[in-house]
Amino acid sequence: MLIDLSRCVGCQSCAVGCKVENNESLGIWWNRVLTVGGNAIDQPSGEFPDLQMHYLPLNCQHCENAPCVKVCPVQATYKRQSDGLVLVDFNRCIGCRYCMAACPYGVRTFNWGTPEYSPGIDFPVGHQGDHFDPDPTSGQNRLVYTPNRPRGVVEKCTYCVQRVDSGVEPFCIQVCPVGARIFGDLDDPTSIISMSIRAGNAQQLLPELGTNPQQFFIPPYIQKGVVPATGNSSPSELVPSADMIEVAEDIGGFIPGFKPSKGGIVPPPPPPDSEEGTNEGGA
Amino acid sequence: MREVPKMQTGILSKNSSWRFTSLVIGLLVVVAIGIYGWIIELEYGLIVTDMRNVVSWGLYISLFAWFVGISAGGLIVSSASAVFKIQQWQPIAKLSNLIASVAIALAAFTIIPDLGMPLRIFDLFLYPNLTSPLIWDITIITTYLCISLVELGLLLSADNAKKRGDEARYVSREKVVRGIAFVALPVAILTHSVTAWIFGLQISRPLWNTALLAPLFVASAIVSGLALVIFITVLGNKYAKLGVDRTVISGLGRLLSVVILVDLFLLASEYITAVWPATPAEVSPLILEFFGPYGWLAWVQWIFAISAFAILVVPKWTRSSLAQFSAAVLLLVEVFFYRLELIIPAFVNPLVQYPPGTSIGSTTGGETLSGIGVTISNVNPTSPGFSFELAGAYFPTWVEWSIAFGLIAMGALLITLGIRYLPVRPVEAGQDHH
Repeated sequence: MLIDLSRCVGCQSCAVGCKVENNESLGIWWNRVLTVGGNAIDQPSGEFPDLQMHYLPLNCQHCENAPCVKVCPVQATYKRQSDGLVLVDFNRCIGCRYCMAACPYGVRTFNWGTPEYSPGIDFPVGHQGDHFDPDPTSGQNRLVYTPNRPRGVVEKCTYCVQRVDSGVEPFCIQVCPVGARIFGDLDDPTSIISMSIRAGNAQQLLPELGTNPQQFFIPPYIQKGVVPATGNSSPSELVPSADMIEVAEDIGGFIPGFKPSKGGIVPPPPPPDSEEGTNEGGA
Repeated sequence: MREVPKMQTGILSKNSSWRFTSLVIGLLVVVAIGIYGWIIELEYGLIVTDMRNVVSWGLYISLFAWFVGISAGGLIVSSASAVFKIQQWQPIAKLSNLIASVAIALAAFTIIPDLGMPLRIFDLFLYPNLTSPLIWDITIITTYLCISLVELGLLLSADNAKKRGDEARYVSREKVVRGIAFVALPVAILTHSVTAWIFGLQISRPLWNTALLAPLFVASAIVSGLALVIFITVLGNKYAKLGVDRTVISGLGRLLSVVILVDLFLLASEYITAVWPATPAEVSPLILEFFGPYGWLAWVQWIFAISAFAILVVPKWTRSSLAQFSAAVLLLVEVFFYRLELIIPAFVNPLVQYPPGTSIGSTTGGETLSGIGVTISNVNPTSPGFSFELAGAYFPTWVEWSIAFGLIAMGALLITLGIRYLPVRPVEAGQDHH
């Protein structure tokens, strides 16, 4: 999956769409849209007019070298051979949460109690019916989707395996109003996703960890006095500019324990006026 | 040579029996409260703990790592006395082995209340994933438990033979014990290393991901293990007439002071390696470890370790049971704090930390929780319905504490009963002379 951060408007449609399609209970979000900027959602960093902000939709990165798959003691989390999806077998998971400790992206969520839903919802929500992994190499009866997850198991984004296995795109792709999400075959160099990744200089999240995610991000534009060319910005026209590379380093440079400071990620340069002001005051 | 009447070797004298009974009843009450906590947890799920998606491991896993650690002393004393022929420790070999067996059995058991699906525990044996350090740990812990039980059995049988004057049987048993000890010692080292690798191999937690974690776990395990042997021996001398010689205890204390230094040296090496390059990726976790919301754990750990070391090296106190006992208590707490300090702060700040944060995995507050007296740290006071968390918060609920103390009481009970009903006393020490 590829997400074009220069297109993402932070509308949360993918997060809500995911929650509905997969019948996620209260407090559980497989897909979140994070704000990279200030201290709260939709809050930029910096001082007017030098404000900076972009969004980062976050779901399972479906790593090639997935730490969660390696640590799972009972092979409940596994990497499907046919398409590389990282899936959880709800019939197998023992709820030890080792995968949650091992995941660098924090995208796994646990059913701490019996799943609860909003009181008004007394009708079925989301994809109905259990889905078993049809890939014969995955093993027998792998329950990879069910609208009724039991208490005490770990769950996470499956790239909507129940839809993908019947040839439909994941729901977040379908609901994104700005077409920021592209889903396709990374092994095929001529697929739209592969071409867009090359053209957009797409990055992986935390690449230095070597997990090699199957999820890519085209860096966002950040206005630094330069307004990017308006008009059609189809993937093939996205040529990395100096601005984008600077932002790309920002994406790859998540530091452990990073806490957005009040001043934001990039502290704004002191306004030239204030310097003159102090000089006058001293004289 | 002190003559001990036969009746008093296995069972306490009659006039102190009420003490034994009240101790057993007291421990049983704590165990019962723990079982009640566990029943609550089985009924409602792990939602009654304070663990949520950000801090997803807590008191149980810390306790597990601590139990594994405190089992070290037992096997090291009993095996070292056989492998390196340290005659001085021979009298407490059986007791140490009992402690090791109980501690490691408790460690294995502590995993169960941490599971979301405890009934699926047998899947660990049906579908093991050989790349998982958890599977390595289960394998090595089982091996360790079997070895300590077999060694305990052989030591008791050797003593029995000696008592009956069957010299040939005694010699052959001792030989087997010595053979097993050669295996037991490396298995003990490996048990602590593998437990460290559960954490240390994870790239997702910078605080854990260091090659020094295995040596650190071995060192801190020996610290807590020796401390537990001293703790129990001193108490046993006072209340159960164990009759362990003071020189044995002060010998253990001397060894302990050296291991504390090794442990603190390893920690200091870890810190300087993080601080000197001054890169945020290395320094930030360390700053959090000391100055974050859970920083007091690290400070208490260092203060306790240094105080215990000071107590152990004051020449005047080396023969004082009280001094050795206080140092042992400080060190048992110190190593427990080290486990907490390693686990909780590692979870508090995830690598990808942007607003609104991570969904905590349950509704906050809730009538069910307040009904059973559980409050969780993750409630955002300004918007109680908000189920996201930027930085984690964790403090164990009463359910977690009750299960934890229930497990500790269970261990204390098993060791008390063992001392009373198994011939683990060093009475044979007196018979060595003839």
